[in-house]
Amino acid sequence: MYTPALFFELFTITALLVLGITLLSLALPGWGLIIIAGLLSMLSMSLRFIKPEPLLQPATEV
Amino acid sequence: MQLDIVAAFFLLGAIAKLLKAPISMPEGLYKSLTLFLLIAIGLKGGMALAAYADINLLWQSLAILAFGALLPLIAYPLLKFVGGLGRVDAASVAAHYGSVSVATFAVALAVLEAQEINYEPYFPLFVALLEVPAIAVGIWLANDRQHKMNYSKVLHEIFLNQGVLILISALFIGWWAGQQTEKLMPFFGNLFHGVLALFLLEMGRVAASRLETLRHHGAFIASFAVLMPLIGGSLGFALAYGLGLSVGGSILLTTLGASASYIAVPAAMAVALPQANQSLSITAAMSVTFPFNVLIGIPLYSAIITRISL
Repeated sequence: MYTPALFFELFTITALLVLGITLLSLALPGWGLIIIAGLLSMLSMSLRFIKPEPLLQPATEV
Repeated sequence: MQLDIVAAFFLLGAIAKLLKAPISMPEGLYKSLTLFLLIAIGLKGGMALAAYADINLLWQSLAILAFGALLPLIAYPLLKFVGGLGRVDAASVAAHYGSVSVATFAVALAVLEAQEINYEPYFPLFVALLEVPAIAVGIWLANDRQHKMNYSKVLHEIFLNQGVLILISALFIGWWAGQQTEKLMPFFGNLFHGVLALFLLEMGRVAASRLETLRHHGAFIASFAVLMPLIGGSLGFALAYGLGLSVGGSILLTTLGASASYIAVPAAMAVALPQANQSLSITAAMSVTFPFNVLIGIPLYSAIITRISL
């Protein structure tokens, strides 16, 4: 379940949030990054919910 | 942060597509608009080359070429070892992100001109230079020693595809003609923003039409398509600082580093790496990175770099 890709997505979302909030604190336009972080998290969750991870071992016939 | 008016047309096209409103452009017109933008950018850059070329430009150009070769080398391990893409797909996507988007560059130009920020007028030369190295690196990364590549066909596609050929030719014509190019500016200069607005209207529609394919590729590629522009843009800014470019030049190089090709590189990859999944790279570049740069990235880069320079 915890693949490098998932960690990358989490890292990207976190980085966008941190960067966006930092920019806002400096009176720079950070809202766009925060919105993108939100969209990416929704995409990541929805795709994992709709497309569950395949079984590691296929079922064997009896 | 204010959205530039041309970017609003991009939003219009995207929203219209999502609402299934019947706005569409004849393909011939879209291709004509693309040609217009390439020629306009090339001519202006060529005119500037005639006026400003010196030895410093040579060193800058070499640095730009190295930058273009570096970006796919950063993207490739992320795609292959983190994203789990196959060698060929990772190399193909990396090549897209190492190259540049002329349309994104055109939007950045429009933003700079609207904000009256000066930039090095010979910048289109850098755009032309950045088109090519990433393609070569992408092919090298994907190269399967067992599979014989048709190099003449690949080279033909790299250097003679429409985007690269028209841009470099217009640069050359502008440089050769010098002041004579002013005769064409009432057309290629004054109409630039209007043509760009129409072009972006269609781009918005096309970008929105490809969003559905993101479902098939997963959230990793969408995350990559947002993070890689920030990485490339940061490196572009660092290079601009090292080269001593102006504020406008820094914004442009940051934008170029953040952009991804979806015209020249797909054409080259279709010939060089026919087994690569084109849908993956074009969806990432066109449906995620391009809108990200146009709607959020360029205003952001401009605001940050302008603030730093104060």
